[in-house]
Amino acid sequence: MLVVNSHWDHVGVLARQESAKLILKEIEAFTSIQNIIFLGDLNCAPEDAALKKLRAEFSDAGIGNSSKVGTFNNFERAANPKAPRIDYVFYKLKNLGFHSYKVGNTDVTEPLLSDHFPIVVEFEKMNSKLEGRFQFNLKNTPLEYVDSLFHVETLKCYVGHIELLDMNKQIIGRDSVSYRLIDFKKSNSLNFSINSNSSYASYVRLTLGVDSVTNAAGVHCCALDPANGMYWSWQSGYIQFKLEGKEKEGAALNLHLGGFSNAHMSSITDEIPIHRWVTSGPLLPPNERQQGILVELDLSTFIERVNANKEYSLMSPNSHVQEYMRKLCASFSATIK
Amino acid sequence: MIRKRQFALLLILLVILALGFSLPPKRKIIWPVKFYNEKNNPPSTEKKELGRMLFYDPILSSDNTISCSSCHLSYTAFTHTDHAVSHGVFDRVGKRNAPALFNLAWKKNFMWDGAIHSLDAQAMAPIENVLEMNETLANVVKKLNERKFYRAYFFQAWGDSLATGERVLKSLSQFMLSFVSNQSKYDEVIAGKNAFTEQEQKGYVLFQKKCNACHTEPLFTNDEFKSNGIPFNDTLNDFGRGTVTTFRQDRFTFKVPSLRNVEMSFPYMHDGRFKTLQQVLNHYSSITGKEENISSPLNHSLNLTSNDKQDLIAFLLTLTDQKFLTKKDYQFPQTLQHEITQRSHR
Repeated sequence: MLVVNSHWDHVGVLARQESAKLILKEIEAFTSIQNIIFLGDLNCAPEDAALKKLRAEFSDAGIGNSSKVGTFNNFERAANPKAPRIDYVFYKLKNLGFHSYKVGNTDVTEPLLSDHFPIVVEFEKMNSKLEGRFQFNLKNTPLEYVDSLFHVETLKCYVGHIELLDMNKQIIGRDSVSYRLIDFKKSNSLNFSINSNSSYASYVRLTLGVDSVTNAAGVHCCALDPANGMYWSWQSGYIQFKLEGKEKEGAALNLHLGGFSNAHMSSITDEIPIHRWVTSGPLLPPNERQQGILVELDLSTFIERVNANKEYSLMSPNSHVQEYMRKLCASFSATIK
Repeated sequence: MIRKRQFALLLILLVILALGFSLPPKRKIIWPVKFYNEKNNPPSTEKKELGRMLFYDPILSSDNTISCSSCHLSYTAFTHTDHAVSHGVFDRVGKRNAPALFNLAWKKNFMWDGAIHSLDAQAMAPIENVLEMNETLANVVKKLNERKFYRAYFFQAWGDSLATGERVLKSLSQFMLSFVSNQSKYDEVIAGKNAFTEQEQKGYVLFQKKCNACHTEPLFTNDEFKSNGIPFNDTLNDFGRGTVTTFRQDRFTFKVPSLRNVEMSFPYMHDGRFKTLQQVLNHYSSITGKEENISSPLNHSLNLTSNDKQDLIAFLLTLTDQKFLTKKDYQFPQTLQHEITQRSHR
């Protein structure tokens, strides 16, 4: 493993750009080294031009919401909302996996010992075990919240071909069943495990809705049994996503998204990066950590769109369905739990 | 060199085609490959028998009064003879003429508008239609699981006594797949085992010239959606295929029905507007070709003389398959009688 630490100029824009070039050139010589970490007080904002070149080759450990947390406190009060992020940990790994990133001590009230907060980044051996326990949930839009907008009677969707991928997008785990009917009102449908060959997962790949090949083959068993009520009887095809109930004014809400023939293909396959930011509390040693994957669906953009369209009854394949399905699929996120 | 060879092949092909056309009716008619994928539902006698029970059992409807056979009678090629539209639970009246059921393995999609893409999914449509059986598949499954009678049938068919939606639908498919009509007088003539009368022969020649483009031998349908120019029925407001695809060019088009057993399947058209074959042929003689979305072979009147019509009808009657219409395997299973009676006495 090669760890490179650097401290960049806090004034010269050009100096930082040249620093980035120099660092990359130096690192290039270590061709036989598998895992490279480059870190330091780089004295620049995340969008600085100097970081652009680095990002092309390295991954930034501060991703997602964690990237918004400042690292420079200027000896002012700890939880300074204006604190900028100027310290970075970049990595390029082959047989190690990135596990977590945390900006520490941001809640300290005692006199600060440094004008920077510590950053704790964890890497793990690739074969460290990941249990593959899955939990599906609603995010930002809990059922009670959706219920306050609509009176929800049914909220279900098909999720299929769930796979765990490592950072090179190689499959390391695959669900034993092809499709699951996720019913947000039934907790037993939201929790399940999939076998992973105990390697390190960076992405969850899943298909939202029943794919066209499966659909075209007719009716199937188990989660896909048409008796589950997720099949159109007047026009054949599985219902990919179903939201039923009443809207605020009491009118019926019936959103059945589906369609599988060429022009109306509605299932979507996507790879969701697994975010590993530890949000709070001390870091537990790996063996004490509960490692499951929380897949969350944020319905807010979908609901916004439905409300904007005032489309409270949709029971057949059309172009809106594809737009809704894309929005839904993009609203999934995954974290280590 | 390759071009020469292609030319030679084309020439041979043309000669074969020319020979084929110059020969009188005794020519080989090859049945197309089945569309139904048996891999998804491997055939078995037990599944077929279970499907037969289900087909005849009114348990499939919400008030346990209507079965598949209420509108699809085996003696009339599984259609509802003399009913323009059929009646479901509480005498609710449907919107379309019940289609005849046979040679279903060769069909790509089902219903007059092709809304159903798989035979296995087909039975759900009448079960869940409020005008027909007004039931849900889930409740059918629940009711079946409450009946001891069905446990053995499900066990023998599926190796498990539990009824599921998939098993109900696929068993029904197996029974329906057994409806094969290929023993009419026409089939015998084609096989060289019988001969047309002079009038039937004239009708056949006319048929090949004027009807075969859509009602293509040997299935007597090309399985496509066409408009034959019948005026729009504004009480039913039925746009046919257009409602399913939302494409303008599909408005007023309906599935071309097979003409096998056409003698039994009156009245005709998707809404049963014509009572007799004579009326149907009168329509084809009266079209102008200007009707909206009318399909291309019908861009002019068929110009049939009254003799032509009689000859055509004589030919069409050779498509009646008596062996198919009277086959015992298709009829009401007596074992079900006791079960149904017992249920109604509870």
